[in-house]
Amino acid sequence: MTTAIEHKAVALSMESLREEGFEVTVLSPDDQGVVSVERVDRALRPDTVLVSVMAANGEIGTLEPIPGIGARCRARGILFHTDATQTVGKLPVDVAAYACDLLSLSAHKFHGPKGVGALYLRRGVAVEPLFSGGGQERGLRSGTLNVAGIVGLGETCRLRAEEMRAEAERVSALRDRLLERIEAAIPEVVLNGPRRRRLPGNLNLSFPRCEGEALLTALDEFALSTGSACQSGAAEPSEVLLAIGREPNLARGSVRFGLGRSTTPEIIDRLADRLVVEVRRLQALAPEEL
Amino acid sequence: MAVSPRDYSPLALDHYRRPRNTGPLPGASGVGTAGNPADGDYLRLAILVEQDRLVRVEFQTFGCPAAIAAGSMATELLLGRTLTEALTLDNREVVEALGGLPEGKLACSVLAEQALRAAVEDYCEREGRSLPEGA
Repeated sequence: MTTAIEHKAVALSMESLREEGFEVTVLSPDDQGVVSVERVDRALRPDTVLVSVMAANGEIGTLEPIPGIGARCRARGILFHTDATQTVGKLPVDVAAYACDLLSLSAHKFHGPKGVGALYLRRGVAVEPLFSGGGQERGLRSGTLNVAGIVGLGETCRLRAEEMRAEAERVSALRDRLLERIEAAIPEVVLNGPRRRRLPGNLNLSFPRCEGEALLTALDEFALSTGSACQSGAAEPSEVLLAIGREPNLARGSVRFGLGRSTTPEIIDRLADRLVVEVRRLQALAPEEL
Repeated sequence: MAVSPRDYSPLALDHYRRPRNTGPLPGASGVGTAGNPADGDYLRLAILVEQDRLVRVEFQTFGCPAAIAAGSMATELLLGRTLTEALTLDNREVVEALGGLPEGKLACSVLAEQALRAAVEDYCEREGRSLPEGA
C-alpha cells in the first residue's frame, strides 16, 4: 500500500512490485495532500504486507501523520516504510515515534554531499539486496564504500541536529511572512497544501489566470519552480496537484518556493514585491474568458 | 524542464517582458482564438480592418514566455498588412523575427498564426465575404 503523491523512488518501486505480481493499493490524499490514519486503516487488508507513506511531500509541503500510521501498521504486524527524504535535517525525525520498520533519507536534501543516502532498518527486519557482489554493508549493498560520502552524511546530520529546531522556526516564520504578503496583495491566490502542518521551507501557491513558467521567467533571480513546464505548447500538470483536486490551469499557475538557510527577510520582501507586480502583469495579459 | 531566460534571444525576452499591442481591442472587426483554455496555451487575437488593411492588431494570452513573445511579435508583423498579406504569416516568420526560440518552444509560437486565421475568417463572415485569394 502506498499513496498517490510519493516520489518516483517509491512510486516506481511499487510499480516494479506490481509487475512481480503483487497487488498495490494506491491511496489518494485529501485536498490538502494528507493521507489520514483512518484512510490507511480502512484500506488495510488481511493480506497487506507492506505500507509506504512519505513523511512529507516535497512539492506541496504536507506533513503526513506518520506516527499514527506507523502505530496502526505495527499493531497489525505489517511492515511500514517511510520516505523521510524531505524531513530529515529539517524537522525532528524519530524512528521510535514513527513506529517505522524502514526509513530512507538522502544527504543532499539537507546540505550534505550528493550521492549518499541511508536506509534505516529496524533490528530484525531483513531485506533482500538489490544486487550481489562483495558483500559490503552487511551484504545488503555490495560495492566499495563511499567513505567520504558516508562521513559527510554523518557530519551533516550532526550539524543539522544542532541548529534544526531554531532554523525550522526561523524559516517557517519567513514562509508565513511571504504567504501573508502575497495573500494581502493577491487575495485570489490558492494555497496548495496545509497552512500550518507543512515543511518549514516549502510554500506552493497557484495564481489564477497566470501561467507558471511565464511567472518564473520574470523571477529568475529567485529559486522557484513550477508544477508544470510548458513543452511545445502543451503542459503536463503536476500529478501531485491534480491528486489534491487542482484544475489543470491552476496546476499550471503553480509556483513552488524553496526557503532555506540562505533566505533572509530582505529576500522575502523583495520576492513578494516583484511577484505581485509580475502576477498582475500576466493576469492583465490573459484573455477575459479564462 | 522550464527554460531559462538565458535560452531566449534578447529580442524574444524583450517581447516577453514588454509585449506590444496587448488588449481585447474593443470594436474589433474580427476576433480569433487558438489553443486550449482548459489546460494549454491559449491566445486571442483581434484585428481592426480598414480598406482591406489591418490598421490595429491586439493580442491576449495565457501562455509561457515563448507564446507571449510570439503573440507580441506577430502583432508587429501584421500591422499594416492587407488581409491577403496577413494570411501569409506563419510561425517560421514569427520565430525568425524573434531571433529564434529555444528548443521545444517552437510549437508555442503557432498559436498566433492560428488565431490570426480565425480572426480573418471571423471578419470575412461578419462582412459576408469570402476569404481573400490564396488563403
